[in-house]
Amino acid sequence: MPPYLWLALLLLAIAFLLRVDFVFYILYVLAGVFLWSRWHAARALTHLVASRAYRRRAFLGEQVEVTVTLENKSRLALPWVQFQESVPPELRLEESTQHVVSLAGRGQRSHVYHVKGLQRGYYRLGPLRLTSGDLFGLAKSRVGYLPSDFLTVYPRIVPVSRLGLPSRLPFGAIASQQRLFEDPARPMGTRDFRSGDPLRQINWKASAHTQKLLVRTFQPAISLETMILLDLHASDYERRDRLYWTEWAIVTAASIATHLVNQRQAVGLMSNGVDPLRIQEDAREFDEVTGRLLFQTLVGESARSYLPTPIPPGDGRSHLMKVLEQLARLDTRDTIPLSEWASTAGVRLSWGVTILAITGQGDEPRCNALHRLARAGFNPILIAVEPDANFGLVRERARRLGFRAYNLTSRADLDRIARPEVGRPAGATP
Amino acid sequence: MSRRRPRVIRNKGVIAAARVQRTPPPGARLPFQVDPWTRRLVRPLLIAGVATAPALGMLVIVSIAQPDQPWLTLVWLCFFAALEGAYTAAWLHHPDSRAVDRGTYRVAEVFLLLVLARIVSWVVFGVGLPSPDEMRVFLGAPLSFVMVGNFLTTAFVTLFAWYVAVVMGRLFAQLDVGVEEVQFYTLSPAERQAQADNRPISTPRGVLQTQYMNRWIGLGMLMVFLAALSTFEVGQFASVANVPDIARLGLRPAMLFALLLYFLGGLWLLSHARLLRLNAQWLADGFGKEADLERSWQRSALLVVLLIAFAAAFLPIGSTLGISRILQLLLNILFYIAGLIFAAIGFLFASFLSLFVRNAEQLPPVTPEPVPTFAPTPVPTPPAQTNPAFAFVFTSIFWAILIALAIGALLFFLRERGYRLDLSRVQHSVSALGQQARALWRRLRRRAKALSHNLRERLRSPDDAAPTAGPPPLGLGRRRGLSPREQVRYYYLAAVRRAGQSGVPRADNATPLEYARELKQHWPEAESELEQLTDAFLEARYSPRPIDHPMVARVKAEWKRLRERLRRAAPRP
Repeated sequence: MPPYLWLALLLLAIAFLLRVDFVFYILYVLAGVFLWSRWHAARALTHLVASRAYRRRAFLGEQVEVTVTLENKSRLALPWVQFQESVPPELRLEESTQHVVSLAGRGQRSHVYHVKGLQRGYYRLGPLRLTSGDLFGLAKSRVGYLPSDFLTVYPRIVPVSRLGLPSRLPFGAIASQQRLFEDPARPMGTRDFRSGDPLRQINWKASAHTQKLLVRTFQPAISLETMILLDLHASDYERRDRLYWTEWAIVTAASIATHLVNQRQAVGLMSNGVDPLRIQEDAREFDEVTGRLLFQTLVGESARSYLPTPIPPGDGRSHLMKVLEQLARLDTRDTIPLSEWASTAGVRLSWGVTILAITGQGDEPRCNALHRLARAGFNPILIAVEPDANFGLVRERARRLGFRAYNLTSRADLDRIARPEVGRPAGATP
Repeated sequence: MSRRRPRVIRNKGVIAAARVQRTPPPGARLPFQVDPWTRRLVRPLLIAGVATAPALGMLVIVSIAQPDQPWLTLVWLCFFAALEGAYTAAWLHHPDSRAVDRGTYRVAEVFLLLVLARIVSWVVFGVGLPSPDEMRVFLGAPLSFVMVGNFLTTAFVTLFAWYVAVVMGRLFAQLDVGVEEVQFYTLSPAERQAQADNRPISTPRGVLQTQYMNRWIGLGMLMVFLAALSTFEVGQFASVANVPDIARLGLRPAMLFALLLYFLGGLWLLSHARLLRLNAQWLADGFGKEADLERSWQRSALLVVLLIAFAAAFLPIGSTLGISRILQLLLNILFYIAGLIFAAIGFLFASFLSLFVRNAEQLPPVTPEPVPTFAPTPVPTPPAQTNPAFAFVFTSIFWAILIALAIGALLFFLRERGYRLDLSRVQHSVSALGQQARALWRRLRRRAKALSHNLRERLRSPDDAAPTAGPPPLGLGRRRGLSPREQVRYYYLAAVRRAGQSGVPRADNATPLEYARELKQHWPEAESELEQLTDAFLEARYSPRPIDHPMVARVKAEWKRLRERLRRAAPRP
């Protein structure tokens, strides 16, 4: 019991002893203020609605504006509301995310701050801690929370103007001019008749209308699908610079996926890394400094249980977002080597799909694994991201085994393989 | 011979570079705003109001004891003193005022408040500023300047209000966030880390808030006591032995106002204390704040207090009689138990002592010692007559010191607050004033000389005075400038001159009594006026006794009546 309460009781006792009837009035006022403080402090947050508005996804280095809105649904004013948004220091710009405001009856206040993702990942914004209380310090402050929301920062995307991925199959707008397996059920447009075009493809109505021969064009009957096999098995990379090269592998995968979707090609993603989002929601942990979702396995549990769900090939922006979101979250662990995993990965894929295997080195087991894929009817391409002075041997081995191998250790390398094999200058849009 | 060049240390090189490297670039500051109106206006006024309330309660008690004096008008003086105390407390807490000698400043402040209280008590309880005669008394007896009941009460009440305001003002100044705290905690985190050594020492604001509560409730007890005191029927104090049996009256409006002001204002101040405590917490935790929060806080707190006070006014005020009886009974029981315990301890102690005096009855009876005869006390010799010269020197020194202290206190008070004295302007004003005073003095001296010459000529002696010569007619203001003795002479000689003009001049050898007899023969109806005027003149001319103002007033009235009679009797041209 605070000492001033004893004093207050003593004051009342003296007043009663001296028969000051006015003390009843003082008693009423003090009791009224006390009761009002308790009542108002208890109901203050129950009529407060908080919300957070922002774009849920951002590219690397992009600023995201987050608007926190507090709305007082009650007619009574809230003299003070203290809100504290938990934003990781590395994510936040130099803006305060904790303020004290007063809210009028039916009033609303907004606070804007910005975050900037400097590293790919799955970040947590919040929770928003709300505190309010009375005006006299006679009641305890009440605390409420607005649950956390999440922000996905995509990996860095290197603009690859054109990617000269070879294929035995029709590759649409890419360099290949093969028009086998066209699907007559999927008309794409018309073009002028050229010698050799089959007569059944002539669009007679359009030819009559334009007074010149036009032939129908069709989309390929078998879509040009590409599946990216991203190897994030930790042991497949050199220990010394593992973090850097795995990140580079993810950047490469994201860049290729973006490029292919821009070219209206279907692309999918499979990885033998781990997806921290597969951890149960209550067991997830975020880094206090960076705010990034961390991957921590439970004791006695294998990391293989957290392999990401494969994303089948698809096209369109929304599909690309899905691929990039998964790439943003992936982490490196010792799960299953590419040499073992590649054969199982191709089980659900259609025949003829181009498989881009992005890994650290092009050693013999990995080449053999890709060779098995080639024999299974796929079109594997090896992309090794770690520098290798003797990569010529790898390339030669791959050539003998029926697929191509590239060594992409920098952005320049990525641009180099993107050059067209013949004809078109670099950077030209097909 | 080569002279060694002195070594010059420049702020260059590795140390300077390291310093520059250590200093982080200035970042965005925390938006933490405080409301200046709350600090500069609302809070000092509120503190002054709350501090004035107990003083008003005391004034109500004093006014009950002395109902013929306007005691309640002193509440403005108390409010002014409290306001000054609140502002000064906040100002002294400011870092810019740290060089000020607080003790000396407070002494100067109290001294000036006492001077102000003396002036106000003159104005309120007297007929204005003291007359020259009173001034003369003050000069001769300095203690009579201060040993006046009204002044002492005024000074006590004023200083009480001031002290309460100073204590509360100091508490709230400590509760408020300081300039250093705002400067440090609004820095960017990197700068704060770089200036970690400058982190302000945290103030225990929770303790300060509790202190405010304790003091507020403590003074509330005084208020309740004063309120109870103001309801007693004063007339029954002499006749009723038991205090609780004295009849009780209702609360006076002034006391009611004081109670409301104290408790409602105190509650509002409590919300201020809460706000200041939270302010400091928010600042240290890095919460941004806008100034309008404090304004809305004030409005909300005032509204809540007033609404609850308004609603409470409609609730029934019960009687405390029953509870008072119960409490009295409890107190009596407590006192009874305490008395029993005390008696038991006394009994045990006496029993313990009786162990040592068990055979006391066997001892020879104690013969009482003879009562000492008291020698006659010597008659105190009357104190030696004080030397007037010594008394003059002593009082002069006293007043010189007092005036010097007052001026010094005023100058110190103003100088420390930033009001500097422009000596050149003062010298210029003083020299201009001096010239004017000297010119006035020269004119007055010339007039005085002329006047004294005339008076000497006329009042040289009754014998050698010119029989018909009278004093020149003087204006009212100049007549009042004369001493009472000279005024009596003036009225008599004016009457002589008037009588000479009416045809009965005074002979050169006629004494005042002979001349009065002659005048009575001519104007028997003015016999009494002539007698009284002549007697007063003789007393003023020849008696050493002091002539007082009432006598002058009587002589003046006689002279006026005589002048009317002579004017009516005078032959018309």
